[in-house]
Amino acid sequence: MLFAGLGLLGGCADAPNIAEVGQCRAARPECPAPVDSHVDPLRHLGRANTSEFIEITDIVADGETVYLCTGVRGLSVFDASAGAPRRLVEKVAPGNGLADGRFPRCQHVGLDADAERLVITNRGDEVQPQSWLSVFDVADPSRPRERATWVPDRGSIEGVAYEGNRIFAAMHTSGVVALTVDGDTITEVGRTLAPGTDAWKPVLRGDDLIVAEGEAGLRIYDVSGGSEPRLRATAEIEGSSRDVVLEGDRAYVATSAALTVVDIADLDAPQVLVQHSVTGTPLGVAVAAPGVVAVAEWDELRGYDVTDPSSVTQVFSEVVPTNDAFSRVLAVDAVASSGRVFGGEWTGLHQFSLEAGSGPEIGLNPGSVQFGTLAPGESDDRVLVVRNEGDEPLTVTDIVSADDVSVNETCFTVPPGGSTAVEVAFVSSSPEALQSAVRVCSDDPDEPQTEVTLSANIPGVDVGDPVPTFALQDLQGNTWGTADLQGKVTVLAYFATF
Amino acid sequence: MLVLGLSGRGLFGNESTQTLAGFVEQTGVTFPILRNDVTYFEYAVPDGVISPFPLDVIVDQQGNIAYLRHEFDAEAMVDTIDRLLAR
Repeated sequence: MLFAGLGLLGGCADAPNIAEVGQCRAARPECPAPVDSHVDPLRHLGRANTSEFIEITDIVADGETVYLCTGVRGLSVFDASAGAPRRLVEKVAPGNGLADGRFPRCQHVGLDADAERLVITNRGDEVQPQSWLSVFDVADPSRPRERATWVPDRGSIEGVAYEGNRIFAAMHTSGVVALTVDGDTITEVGRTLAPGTDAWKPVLRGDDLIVAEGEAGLRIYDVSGGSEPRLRATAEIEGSSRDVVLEGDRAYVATSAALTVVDIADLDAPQVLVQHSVTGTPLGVAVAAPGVVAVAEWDELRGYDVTDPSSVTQVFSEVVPTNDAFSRVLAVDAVASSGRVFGGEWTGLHQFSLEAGSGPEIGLNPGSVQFGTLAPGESDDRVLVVRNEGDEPLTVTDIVSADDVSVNETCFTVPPGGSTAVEVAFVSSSPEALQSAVRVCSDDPDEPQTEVTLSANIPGVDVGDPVPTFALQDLQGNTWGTADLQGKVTVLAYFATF
Repeated sequence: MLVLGLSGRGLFGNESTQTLAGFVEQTGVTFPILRNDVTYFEYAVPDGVISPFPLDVIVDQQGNIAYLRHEFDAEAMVDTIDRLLAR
């Protein structure tokens, strides 16, 4: 989505004055004592040694072999037999000119049940306008060989399911498409446009196809006919359903702000058992262990015990560690039999192990703070919320910062599920761009130190300034301008499609 | 309450109406999408921001910026909107 970031931003900002942040102090008598015997319920085993920007969009783990779709390097393959996954294949994309050689990208990967072939999809965007799906032979995972490629007349391929010679593609408003693979030829054999379809992700089990269909919810199709999928039933789900995984008679669905559990024992009458609200934005779901679902929620990787749908409980919540300023969890998969969980972010693939542990889990919001323009000597303050998403009390033992920052509390205890608001005051020492940080020290077993970046006097329009003047046309030709904002609260969402 | 999506430079210049229409279809967004934005480059970009997009800006009823973040943070955005609407 944003691999041109550095190029676009290069030269925009002068190097700021960066203040040094001190180290966490030893335990102090006036502060609550930390607990050092916590075991994190999701243990980080290692991160693949990829420092470049690859944007992991989908993960399929087959035992110790992990297949990735990436936004910049197409299909990549990793060996996860050790803690840190090792890259076997760096970059694979269809060779017939469909993929951009500089930034080959794919959105989703589907592995055949025998694990000897897989299919990758590209939904079409500014970089690669043509949507396609492509089958590769991966009998030897270190040498994927292209077998066949299919290009739709129109529309955009998103998720995909693959078994034997059958492929099912979710094509947003262009419906659910059935394809067959014969040698190097892929043929469309049928397509179903159910009412209000916005197909994101299909999962095949026998002759039943279960599809996450955006605002339409979860749909069940009969695909035994070998032609177009026949709609059997719909489970209506509030929000947009974008990913689904099955466990026994249950479907776990990633919806807009919830993990939804659907009973699919009766395929003609699927029942929503619970729509459990979550903190982040679910992008992907995987079964991490029997009754435990891992969810890639953009801000963190979280896990939920769904054994009893009437009382879903969070079992882990993990910021995926990264060297970059913003760690974001974009994709997840897991091997339930071994309790291994794989999380993907902008630059790296991470392997975790599900453990029978319990502990506190720190979360900070916001992850970075802009203070706008401050004249020398002027100060301003913001609230930093320290959350505990774990199941044991969190002891914050210290909050340290540079001389230009002060906080109103430096140690406290946060109960499970609770939060504490800390006031952070920033004093400007210069009219130039300033950058500082606060470091929060705690007894979270895997994040004993975590930082929030603070900045001020960054050149350009900032908080407190008037919005820049604009007058622009929308896709229908209507003009919108600054005057239309007057008296309204307005969200301006700047985006790019790549 | 108004939501506007602003699209400016992509990788190869301003993004085409066709590309944007495809993006709207893929994402299912219903708010107006404005083309050929140039105001993006007027905003402050702190050091350490690796991603140019998304940039989310919330403007108060007086036309002043109340929120500016280079990473999507739904919780903080909802908090800001609630606070502004309650004024």
